[in-house]
Amino acid sequence: MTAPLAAHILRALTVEYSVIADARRTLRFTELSAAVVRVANAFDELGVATQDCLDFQCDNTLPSAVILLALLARGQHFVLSRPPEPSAAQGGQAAVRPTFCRYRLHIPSTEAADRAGGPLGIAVLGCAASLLVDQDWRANLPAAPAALFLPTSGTTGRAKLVRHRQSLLWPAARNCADRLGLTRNDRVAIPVPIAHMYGLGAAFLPSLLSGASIDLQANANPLRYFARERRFDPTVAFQTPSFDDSIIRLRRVPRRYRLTVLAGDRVTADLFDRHEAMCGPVLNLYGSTELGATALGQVADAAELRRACVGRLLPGVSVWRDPGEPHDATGPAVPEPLCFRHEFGFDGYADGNGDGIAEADGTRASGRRFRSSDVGRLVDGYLEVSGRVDDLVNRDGLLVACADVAGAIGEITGVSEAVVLAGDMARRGRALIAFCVADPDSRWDAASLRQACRDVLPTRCIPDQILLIPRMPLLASGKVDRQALRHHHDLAGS
Amino acid sequence: MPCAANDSTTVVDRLKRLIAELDVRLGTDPIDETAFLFEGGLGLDSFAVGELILLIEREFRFEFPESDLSPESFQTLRTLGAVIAGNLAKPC
Repeated sequence: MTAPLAAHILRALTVEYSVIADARRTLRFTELSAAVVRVANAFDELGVATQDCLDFQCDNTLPSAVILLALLARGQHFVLSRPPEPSAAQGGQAAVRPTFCRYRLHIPSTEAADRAGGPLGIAVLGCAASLLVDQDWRANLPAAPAALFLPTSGTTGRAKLVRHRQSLLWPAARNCADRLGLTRNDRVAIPVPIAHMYGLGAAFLPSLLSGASIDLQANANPLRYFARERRFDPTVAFQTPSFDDSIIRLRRVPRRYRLTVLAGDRVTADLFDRHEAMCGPVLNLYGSTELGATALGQVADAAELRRACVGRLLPGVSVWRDPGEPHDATGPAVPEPLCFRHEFGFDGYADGNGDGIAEADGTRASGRRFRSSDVGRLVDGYLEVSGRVDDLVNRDGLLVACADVAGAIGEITGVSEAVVLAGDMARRGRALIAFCVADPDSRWDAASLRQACRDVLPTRCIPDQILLIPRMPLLASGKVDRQALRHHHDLAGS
Repeated sequence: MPCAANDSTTVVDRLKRLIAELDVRLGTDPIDETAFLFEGGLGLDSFAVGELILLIEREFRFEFPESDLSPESFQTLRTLGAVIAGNLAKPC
């Protein structure tokens, strides 16, 4: 291998007593290191050049992790995505089939791990990964810098790919590891996908850099999580709030973790408190596919601060105001759309042909100037995210944040979850549509719940419509699927 | 004395009704009690698994011991029915 990053990665895998595990196997870091070298060499032997982009479907298994590290070690262009899941497909965006990918690479599922691979097989930990020449391939991208492409997981807009420089993943991961205080004594449970920026950039790579032992969990559910918890004995976990809620609801006895990182959606005060009582400190992480981890709490912060904020900005991140405005180091003091500059953020968006995608105003977004879709402010250096840009509506002449309304409804006894979306124009301004999940024991119907809102909300914030739904639709990333909610609303209204 | 008279077959029938209450995509065919609850079967996701456990505990009025909250106990409706019947047969 000639890639300059190879030594960097392999150096991280020298902690002798650390292990990496999945449902089937456990490897010492030194064994992982050897497997990474073998796979990287196999690509060489097959004549795969580093500028030959691969479309890699990666799950949370050891063979996937080995290939992922081998691709990074080689400085190979690749698109990283999850294998398709029927249960997660509804409401999601259509996948981009990149025509700049010369190969498609996937690993047989866990159940069929011993099945033979494709025309170009790569042996990895007893599995045969299939390397298929993509018939849609048109042309390669420029060889440098080595790029990682991630499909966006946003809920609006057209599907596109986010282009990252691989070399920037490592300093960003180091910053996460330092903020979390990860050490080789930690044992890290990762049930979130390592094919997403959260799982990769905040969980997997920082854990490797710290020499922490790692438990990769594919197709995670509470039962599998409990079984793995008993076996692996983790001290740190990375989860989404909805997954954590499922876990906490089923816990019979407290089980202390050194810390649990939650990201992907808003953590309610109720979940925060229940988690802290059962499992110890919760650290909120704020980030995106584009920027990776942007703000992160730390254990030393007081619980009130960790509950209200998503922590301080990570090193290399600063806020900026509208384009043309000078950089403002202190950031907004009142909630306003959040814009970031991230030294280790993305290079830009690409379409399926690898061409750059411009914003509506003709500019190109990148980590150097990125408008998030969130609203928030900095309070004494801590980032407080209050909602999404499209959540702010004008009602009775005053701004109302849908997230605030949802938060208030969510506090009503018998309501377990609430999301509020802006609808068409109504009498007071844009309509507020509340989607609520009621506890099974509660007797709420839409009319009585709307009446109850009058006890906790000013009149302008009372939703025009309340829809009770059995469960909140989620994207694979753990975020609420707003498109599915809108679709549900359209159906309910038709 | 046991909490209630519940053999495994009766329990499975009640379980089928509970599964139908979950917000999961089920085919039109009757639920097969030997089908896997997760991938390759009914395809219950993380959320549905949690909901099912809470529904079962409310329906049968018991709480799963921690040792029963395992993938093995929830492999199929039949295995789950046997686990529930075992719990119901325990003295109150």
